[in-house]
Amino acid sequence: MSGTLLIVDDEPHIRTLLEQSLEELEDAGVRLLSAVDGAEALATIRSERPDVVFLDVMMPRLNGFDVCAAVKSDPRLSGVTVVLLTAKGQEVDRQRGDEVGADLYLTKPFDPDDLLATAERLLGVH
Amino acid sequence: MVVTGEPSGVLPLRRLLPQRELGELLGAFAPLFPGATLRVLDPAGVILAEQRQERLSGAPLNGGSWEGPLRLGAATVGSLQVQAGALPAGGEPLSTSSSTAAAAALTATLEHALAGAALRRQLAAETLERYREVHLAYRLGEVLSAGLDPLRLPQRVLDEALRVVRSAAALVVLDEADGPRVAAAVGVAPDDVSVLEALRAARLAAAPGRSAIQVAEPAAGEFALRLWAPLRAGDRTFGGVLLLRPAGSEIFGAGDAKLLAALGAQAGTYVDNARLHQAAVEQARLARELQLAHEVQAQLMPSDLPRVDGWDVAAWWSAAHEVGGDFYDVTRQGARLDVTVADVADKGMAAALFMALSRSVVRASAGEGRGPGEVLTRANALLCADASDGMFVTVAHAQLFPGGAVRYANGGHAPPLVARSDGSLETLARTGILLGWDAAANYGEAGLRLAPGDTLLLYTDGVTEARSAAGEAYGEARLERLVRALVQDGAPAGELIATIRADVATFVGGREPFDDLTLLAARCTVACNGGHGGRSSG
Repeated sequence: MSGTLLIVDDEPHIRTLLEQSLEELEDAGVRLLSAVDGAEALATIRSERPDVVFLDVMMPRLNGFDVCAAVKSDPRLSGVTVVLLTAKGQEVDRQRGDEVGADLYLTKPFDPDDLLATAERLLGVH
Repeated sequence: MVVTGEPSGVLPLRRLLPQRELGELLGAFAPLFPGATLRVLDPAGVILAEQRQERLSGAPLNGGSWEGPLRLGAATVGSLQVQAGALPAGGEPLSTSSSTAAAAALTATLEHALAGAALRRQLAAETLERYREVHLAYRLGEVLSAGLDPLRLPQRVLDEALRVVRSAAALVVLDEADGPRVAAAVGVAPDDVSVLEALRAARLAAAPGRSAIQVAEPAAGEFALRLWAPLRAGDRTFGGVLLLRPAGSEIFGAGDAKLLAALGAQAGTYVDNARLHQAAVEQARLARELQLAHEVQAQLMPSDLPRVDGWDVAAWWSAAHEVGGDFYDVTRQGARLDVTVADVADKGMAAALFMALSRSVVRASAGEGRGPGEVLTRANALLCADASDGMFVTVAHAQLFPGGAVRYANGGHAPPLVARSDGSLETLARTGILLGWDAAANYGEAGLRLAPGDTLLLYTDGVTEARSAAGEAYGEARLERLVRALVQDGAPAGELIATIRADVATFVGGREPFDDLTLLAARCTVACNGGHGGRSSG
């Protein structure tokens, strides 16, 4: 097992795209999980302790910043790397992301190859 | 686009339907199989989802199990297994028609979900390709607009191409006036013959302006798998990107070709703009150099002509746009006046610099005790020692003595004219070859005597070779006719030159002169004892 990665996006199509871009990680033994909103994401993070979370920013119930802030303020979750998926050109998102302790950013529309390479790098999978 | 051998693979079931979805489907059907366990297995027999239904009511299924394939199109992607628990007394066997009908319904539902998932995946895959293209466009815009250096741009294009389509080797080719040139290469030497052959073959396989996937025989060289996409600006193709993989590796796919074509179309505009920009910069540089060359040349022309008694001298020079390297010079050596007209056989800054050198060398070689032949012999030796290869200059050099005596030497120059006031006309033949060619060359000289009113005219071939709108050359005959008439009319040197200028200008009709034009006239004004000097050779 080479770690666990959680995909969080409320938009089912984007979630499918993210999953499909990353599914070859499963061949390397990575466990791929997904969550459909911020609340489910936080619950999954707490129960499954993923190594990496690809976290959409704009979501109902609990948005990406809120989830990130909750994760980063919880010492038990210090091993979780949070990658925020921000919209292209939304520099303000990055400022906010920095405030809540996001580790990395990927802009949407994301480059599937970039996404996979980032996940591989963060999980130490080659 | 030529596509060959697209490999088809059947996706594993676990990729099509995640465990959660499978579990939900089995859970929905489980009540139809009381006491049984439902499983979905992959072709290797690995359990992907499992659902056990406790017997709540009704008769339990009896022992034994049922298993049927799960199909997606023609392919079997897994199986559904119904395993009954132990059969209590009076239990219903699994093989009853109601339970087989339920199993068939579950199978149909699972297969329907699989087909739906496969369609979603296909749509998602297409969307991901769009994502790649969109992202490629974003990246290219950022990366390529970061610098318009035409030397670095092809490497950037190559880096981006390799990012989107992994390959063993790659090159960017630009079509130049003298043929295609490899502007950047990764993984291969740009001059590798087999690679150039692969390039030629891949381009041949492509329709004009389109991308192409080519699978060559493995014997065709190290890189049998090729993907070509043109670099384009509008409808113009001016090169392309070639990606290479060795035989036996994964064949380039249609999606790869599409991406590379998108890259070629977008990067093409940048590369083209960079090339245009470079051409504009080069043009500006040439214009500056030309301006400088003009200044060098103009500064070397004498601003005031020295005067001696007995001679009326006038000169005129006009530079061609490209700077032809003409010069004239008039220096005083005691009571003698030395006149020179020369023409460097080149254009531009190089000609201007060589002209400056030639003028200095002729000046330095002249001296009171030296005849014109010796002056040219010395000047030639100095120029040959100094000059870079391929720079030559024709020189007509004359020494004007008080009273009308003239000694002259002609190093490959247009023969000067001597027009007499009686209407006769002579030309002063060459006494040696052009200067700068042969360091050992010797230059002869000759002499003649002018009577008052007789005029010596030195000129460069820019005058006689000036062209009319119809392409006709001004010519020696026209010049000689005009000079003869003017001298016969007693025209002073200045008037002679002004009239020739005006006549040449009328002849060319306002067109930009191709070459420099230089005229120098020396009219004898005071006679010496003995009248006309006869021609003598020396």
